[in-house]
Amino acid sequence: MPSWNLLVTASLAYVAFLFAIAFWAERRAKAGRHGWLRSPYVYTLSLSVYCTAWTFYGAVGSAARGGLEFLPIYLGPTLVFVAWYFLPRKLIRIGQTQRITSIADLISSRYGKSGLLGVAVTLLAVIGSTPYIALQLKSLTLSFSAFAAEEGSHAPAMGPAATALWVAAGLAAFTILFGTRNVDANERHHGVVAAIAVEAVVKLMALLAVGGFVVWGLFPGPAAVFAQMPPHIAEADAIFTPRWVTLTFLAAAAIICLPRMFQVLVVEATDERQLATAAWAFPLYLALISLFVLPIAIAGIATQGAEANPDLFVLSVPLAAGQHGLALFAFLGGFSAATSMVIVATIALSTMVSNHVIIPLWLHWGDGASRHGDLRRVLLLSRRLSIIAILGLGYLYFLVSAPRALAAIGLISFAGMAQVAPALIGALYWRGATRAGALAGLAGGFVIWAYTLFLPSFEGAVVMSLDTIEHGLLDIAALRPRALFGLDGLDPLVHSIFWSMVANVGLFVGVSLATTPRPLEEFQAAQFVDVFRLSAASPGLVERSAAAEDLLALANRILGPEPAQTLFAREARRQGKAAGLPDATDGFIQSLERELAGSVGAASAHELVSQLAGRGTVSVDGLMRIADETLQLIDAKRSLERQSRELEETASQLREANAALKRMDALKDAFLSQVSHELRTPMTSIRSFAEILGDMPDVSTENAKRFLGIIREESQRLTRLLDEILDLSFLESGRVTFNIDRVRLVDVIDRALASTEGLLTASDIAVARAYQGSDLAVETDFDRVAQVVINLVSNAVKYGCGEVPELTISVGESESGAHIDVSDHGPGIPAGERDEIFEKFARLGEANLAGSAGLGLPISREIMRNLGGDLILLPGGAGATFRVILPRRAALSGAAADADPDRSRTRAAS
Amino acid sequence: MSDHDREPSSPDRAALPLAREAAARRRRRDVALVLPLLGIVLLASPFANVVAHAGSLAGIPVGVLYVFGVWLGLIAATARLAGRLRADDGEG
Repeated sequence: MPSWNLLVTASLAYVAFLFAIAFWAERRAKAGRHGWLRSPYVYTLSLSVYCTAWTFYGAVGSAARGGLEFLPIYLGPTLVFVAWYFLPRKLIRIGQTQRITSIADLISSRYGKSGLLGVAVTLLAVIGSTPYIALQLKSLTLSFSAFAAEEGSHAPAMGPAATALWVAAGLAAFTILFGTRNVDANERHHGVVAAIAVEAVVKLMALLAVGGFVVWGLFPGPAAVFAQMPPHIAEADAIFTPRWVTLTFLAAAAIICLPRMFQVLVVEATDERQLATAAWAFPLYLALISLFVLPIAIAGIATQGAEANPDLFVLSVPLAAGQHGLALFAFLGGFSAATSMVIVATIALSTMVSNHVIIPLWLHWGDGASRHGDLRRVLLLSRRLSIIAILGLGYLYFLVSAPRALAAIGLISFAGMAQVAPALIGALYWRGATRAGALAGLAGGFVIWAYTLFLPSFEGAVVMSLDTIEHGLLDIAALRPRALFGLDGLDPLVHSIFWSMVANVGLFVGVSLATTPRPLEEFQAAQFVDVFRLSAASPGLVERSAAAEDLLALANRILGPEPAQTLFAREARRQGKAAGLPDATDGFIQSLERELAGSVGAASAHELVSQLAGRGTVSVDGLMRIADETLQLIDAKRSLERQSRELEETASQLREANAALKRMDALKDAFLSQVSHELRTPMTSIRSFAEILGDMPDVSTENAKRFLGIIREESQRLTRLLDEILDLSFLESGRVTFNIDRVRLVDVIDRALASTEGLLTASDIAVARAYQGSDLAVETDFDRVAQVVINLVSNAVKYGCGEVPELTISVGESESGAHIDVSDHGPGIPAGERDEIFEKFARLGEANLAGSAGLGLPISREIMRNLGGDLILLPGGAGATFRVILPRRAALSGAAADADPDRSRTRAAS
Repeated sequence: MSDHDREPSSPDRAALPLAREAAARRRRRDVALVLPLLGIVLLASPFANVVAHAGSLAGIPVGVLYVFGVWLGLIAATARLAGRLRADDGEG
């Protein structure tokens, strides 16, 4: 059995060890060697201040009473951390950009740096946390008394009240020493964080050790433990109950709303990336710490009986088994859990009280108004006094509170702080939430929480009498605190949470919708809700002016001379000044205010700066600009998308144009090589015959005549070819002049047939004239159309002589004009070549069309197009049918081409 | 939406891995949102009652195994996802 003295000695030694750790970490941090202090694991361990003595002792008690019911307290935070990317990350980002110092500061800053909201949340936090601090004191005295009870008559005559007083005093000393060393601009406490990280390890190890001993030392394994499960746990009919959901919700709200959790999660966070590790490591810590809770509870009931206090099973089970060393370790674990919670909670609360209550009061009535004196001294003093006052309150609550189970007290506290949750969630995600809405919601929720849960918890000792608890205020049954408006039969906690949340959320949303936010609220709302989208500092919203000297004096008072000097020098450099004070621009005043907010909170900083610089006017333009920065970003994104779509379209048009140019270039190359080839053949024969005539004097006259004949023929062919090329070139560039007259189609055909009569007779081809008696006439160029028809007839003769040596010529009339069809009975034109035949030098098979170089059809088509008509190949039918389309009145693109040469060229290319 | 609109018409091959990467990021964010919702359904809804009376496995009540199993599963999934999300934020 560890003696009382040993217990006290061990506690003191442990406390000394913690002091040493804190000192060492503080010195390291001061020297700039943060090292593992910034490790995400230290951050995770510091989050474990969530697991207080309530976890350490109370969870087992809760499990002994209600089985798995202790779990939601850890599942709620797990769910919040699983959602780290959306909720905690945003909190930390806002905390860092806005230099938030506490949960009250966050709410106050978001709702227009409202001092009133800061006070409201601070009050709520103090009232809600006091029972919780009392709970830690209670569990500490209980654990001391557990040893004392074991020791029997040797116990010193030190009552629980005296023990609690000493513990509270010791905690106050530690907190003042490490929690208020300086008014660090970031409100970070490296010594405290290091100490609670060590305590986190100790309490986890202690609970795991006790659990391991119970499962494998006391019993042969987990199956044997669970076999002892008492019926009220084993036969619980459902895991999921309204209470289960309520507890999960409360715990989830608590992990972000409890002042101490906000302190370690947001304020002490040095790096957003730490959270990515804590996102899984903290839930793992919670799972490990919960792992043996149920086995210890079962073992406790099995070995100690039902009368024993289940809240002390963690100690009493090893003690009863004679494991004194283990019991001492467990005691230190519980000690760690209780002290770390009290230390962090007190720091957080003292910051809130001093920033939101004392400093504003001091600014208003005290020396603060006189604009000199070192504010830091006031700040430190007010924080130290706050620490003592808060611990004193906790001690007082401990003295007057009814002897209730640990878990119940903890839940009252959770339910109180959960009233901040709607305003907090609204602060992060709803731009329309207003200060009035937040105030109304908080007030409504607080009143109902106090009436239905907090005051009844004193069981008649404070304010509310037993009679009121039983029968309702003024004996009105509808106002019974535990059955409000007749809602009976619910668990008191579920009942209170239900009504308080209905009132809270209802008022918050309703009043927010009904009120218009002030400009500063709107500005802060944008800064909070869109924190991931906005640039860090949006300068110049509030137009204010102040003397730089006054600002420096203010910064000196709050930040201290050295940091203030650094800050101003940096700004001066940024403004491009080699020496002297920076200009007090709107942007600088704003960033200075934010810097000061890191020490005294947003509302006080705003107040202090406003004393110098005036309230300033929020320029509507600036507000619109900043409040709508998000919209602008969205617009910018959209216009970027539109531009890139347009670019893509332009690019594809360019690609198409490029492809067309390439195609035309290839056509031109092919044309040139064809032309040279066509010119080369007659040239070659002319040259060779000329050489023969020149080199061989003995050529007979007959041969010489023949040769000269060939030379003449070839020359003529050459000339014809060149004429055709020229003709085509003129046609394509639209430089041909036409002779427009009224022309009867029959005359044109007659002329064409007369011209080709020799050819027709030689080939013995009959012409069927299917236009007898037609009197159709159009305005066009007679010779050119005749040229086209001649070309078509010659083609038909050369190429289209099939089994039936006949060609048909017909005329017809259409809406827009007339047409001449020339059909043969040849093999027709294969589908694949229908387009090709109109290309230059295209030859159908090996046949040379009309004795020319294959330019006949392209020229003909070009002529017709120049005349406003067309030449097409009609689909289907036996043989080939070409149709010459003539407009009633020649469009005369040829004549117009002088003014617009591009048009016909483009048309020729297409 | 616009990304979907653009993908088919974009012939630029170099853009494809980027588009895939962006889609993967978006999916990771979606999973990060689904995970807590899944946790709520599995741990704080009548769903848990399905296993409340399922007896015991190797001497341990199935209800206990279920809650701790889901819990550890959520932790593992969050750990897996958190590293990648952090890398995403680090890059962009």
